[in-house]
Amino acid sequence: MKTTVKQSTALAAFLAAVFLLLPLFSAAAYAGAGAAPPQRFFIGATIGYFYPGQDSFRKIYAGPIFPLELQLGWNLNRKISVFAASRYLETSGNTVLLAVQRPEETYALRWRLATVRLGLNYWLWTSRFSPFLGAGINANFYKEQWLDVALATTGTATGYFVQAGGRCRLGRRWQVLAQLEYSAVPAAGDGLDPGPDLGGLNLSLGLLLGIF
Amino acid sequence: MPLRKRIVFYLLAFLISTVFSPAAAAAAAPAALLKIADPGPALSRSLAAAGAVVVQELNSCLLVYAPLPALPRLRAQGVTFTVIAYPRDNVSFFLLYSEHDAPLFSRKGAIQCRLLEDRIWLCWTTAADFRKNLAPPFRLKALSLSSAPAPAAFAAVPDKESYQIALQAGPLLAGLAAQVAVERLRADILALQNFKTRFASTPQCEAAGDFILGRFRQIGLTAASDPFTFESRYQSKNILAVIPGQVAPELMVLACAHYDSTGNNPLISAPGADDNASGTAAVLEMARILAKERFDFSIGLLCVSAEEWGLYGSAHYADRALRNGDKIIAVINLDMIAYPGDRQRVLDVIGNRQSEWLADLFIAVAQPLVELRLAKVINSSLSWSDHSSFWDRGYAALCGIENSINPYYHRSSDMLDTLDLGFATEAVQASLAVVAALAQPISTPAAPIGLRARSQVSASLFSSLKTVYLEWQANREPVSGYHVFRSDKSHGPYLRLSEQPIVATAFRDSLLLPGQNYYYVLTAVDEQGRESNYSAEVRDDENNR
Ligand SMILES: [Zn+2]
Repeated sequence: MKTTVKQSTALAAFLAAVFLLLPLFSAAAYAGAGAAPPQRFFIGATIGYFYPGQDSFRKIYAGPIFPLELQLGWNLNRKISVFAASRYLETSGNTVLLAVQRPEETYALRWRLATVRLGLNYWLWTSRFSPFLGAGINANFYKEQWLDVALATTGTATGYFVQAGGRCRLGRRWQVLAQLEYSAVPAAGDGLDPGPDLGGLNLSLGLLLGIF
Repeated sequence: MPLRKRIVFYLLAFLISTVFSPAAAAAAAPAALLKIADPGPALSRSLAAAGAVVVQELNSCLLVYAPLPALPRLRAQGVTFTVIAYPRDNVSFFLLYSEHDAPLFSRKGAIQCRLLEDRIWLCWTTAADFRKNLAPPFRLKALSLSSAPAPAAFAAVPDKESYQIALQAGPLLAGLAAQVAVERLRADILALQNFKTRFASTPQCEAAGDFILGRFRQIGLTAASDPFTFESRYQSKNILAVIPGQVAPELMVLACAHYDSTGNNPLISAPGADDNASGTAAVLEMARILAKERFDFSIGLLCVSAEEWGLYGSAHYADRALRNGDKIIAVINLDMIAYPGDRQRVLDVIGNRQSEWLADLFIAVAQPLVELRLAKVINSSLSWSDHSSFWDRGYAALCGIENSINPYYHRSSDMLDTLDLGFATEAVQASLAVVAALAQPISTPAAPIGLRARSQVSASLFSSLKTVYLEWQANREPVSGYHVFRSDKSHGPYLRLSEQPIVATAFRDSLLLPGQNYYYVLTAVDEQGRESNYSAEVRDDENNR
């Protein structure tokens, strides 16, 4: 129960922040609106809120997870853009007990995940606010560490993602990005679930800068 | 029988056999008996998933009872089998050993037989008097189709290291073995022979059972008779005496022998001196000697009946033991131990694969004490005595039997004067030492009691580790501590986990593999550094709540 409360509080705080900030950004965008940005290349950074898709993942890593991402994008034309991104997240958790005898005896864990994402966005329309749909593949490099004992698992897993979001222009070079992504990253292990999935929902908010 | 009656009888028998032939019965039967010659590595899992049970393990094949709808699934899982019969409610199945090329006098009798392996047949019948159709001599084992578990369920194959405790008791065991008295054996064999016949279902057999009960009580043991019905119409009884264990009485070592007999005219004459007054006298003599001693675990002394009809008495006992979850460490069955013949004096010690550890232990403990040669025979097809009822239910069991051909076998001439009681005495000495070793003569300090184990698994996303929590009762006498031992196989070999004796009465064993079961025992160490026997073994999750 504690888990759910903690996570939903964090999610609510994050959503509140997004909804408070979006009008501000939009207003700024409206103020600075002019000609379409001439740049075709972008770099950007986002911060997200990650909600693990798998129940067993959420039981083990119950705390809020805020991934950071760097993006490099290229608008091929007015409809299609491609991007590469690198994301990192880290969180801590506790082992889950089966056949519980001593509920207090769990092991502390640390989870680290680096993801490289390659994707393609399709722009529904482009104006000050430009919504898009996207999809792509990801490669994941993970390390799960038991902090009290010398036990760590490192590995790689690949998966895919789909996403939807929008960009909002802020002046000539800057844009605000908000997107919701669903990813699936199947893996194999000897843990709580024999088929852990490292994916889930990721809501992120960030800034992009047009460079060329 | 007049000719006309005989013709009618055979006609009827033929009709019945046709009706119950596999092809005719297939439509109505809900299950099938399969012969599986090549048990692949995953067979037991496939059988369990299909709701099938192993009815009989033979050297070259398994006889499996499977529901009909499961057959396509078994086939799909790569299990190759041949359907031998489609059992129906009123049909009885037997395993038959016969040295004749054709075991039946007449093919048209109310009994059908299919060869399973060399000299071993599966027979099925609806007739009560089917034995008339069998060419003597033969041996029969009634098969139980419903209650047989997969034998692997209790598989426990300890390593030679686990004999250490048994071997340490060597001098004590030698002292016990030396008490076996040939005159006692002679007196009991004679008394049993004097019943003229002990053919199960006869009043004389019942009287022999009462005699055995009286002998146990005379020795001062608590004993009881356990009546049972066999082949739906006959009565007989097993006789059980118990020497209660001092440390873990719920664990039991069983010495057993059948006291019933048979012969060419069994209602009139079946003295059965070798088969099996000799084994019965052995159990009585063991009772006399062991009753004076104290052991960690209980010793059961079991005389069963209706063995000659198809192992009914031992099947009755073993069925109930399995249902009650009785913890039988091992069964030593003695059947014909007094006719070594002209050949070398050899006592065969017969086990199946799961009981091989027991045969090894038998020889390691007993061979130094006797001159006769103990020969290990691992052959699950040797199912013709009561040990096989315990094999079928997953218990470790072996049969001690003379390695010779007794020309008086199942005849009115199987009498005391044909026996070699010197050989029998040594066979009893060997068996007694092994029973005592398995039951563990109490040690100083006493083996710890009340060992309980609980385990939990800690799981992360990618790994899991098991932790086991052990607790036990403190010994009554002062001790300096306890040693904890662990094995990943039941009965060891055990690895000692404690460097120094642990003063507490609890122990935590962590960082273990989650998918593996672990087995623990304890010893107590006193202030003079003497170490006790092992405690009773526990499995890591045995006391999980
Ligand atoms: Zn016999």
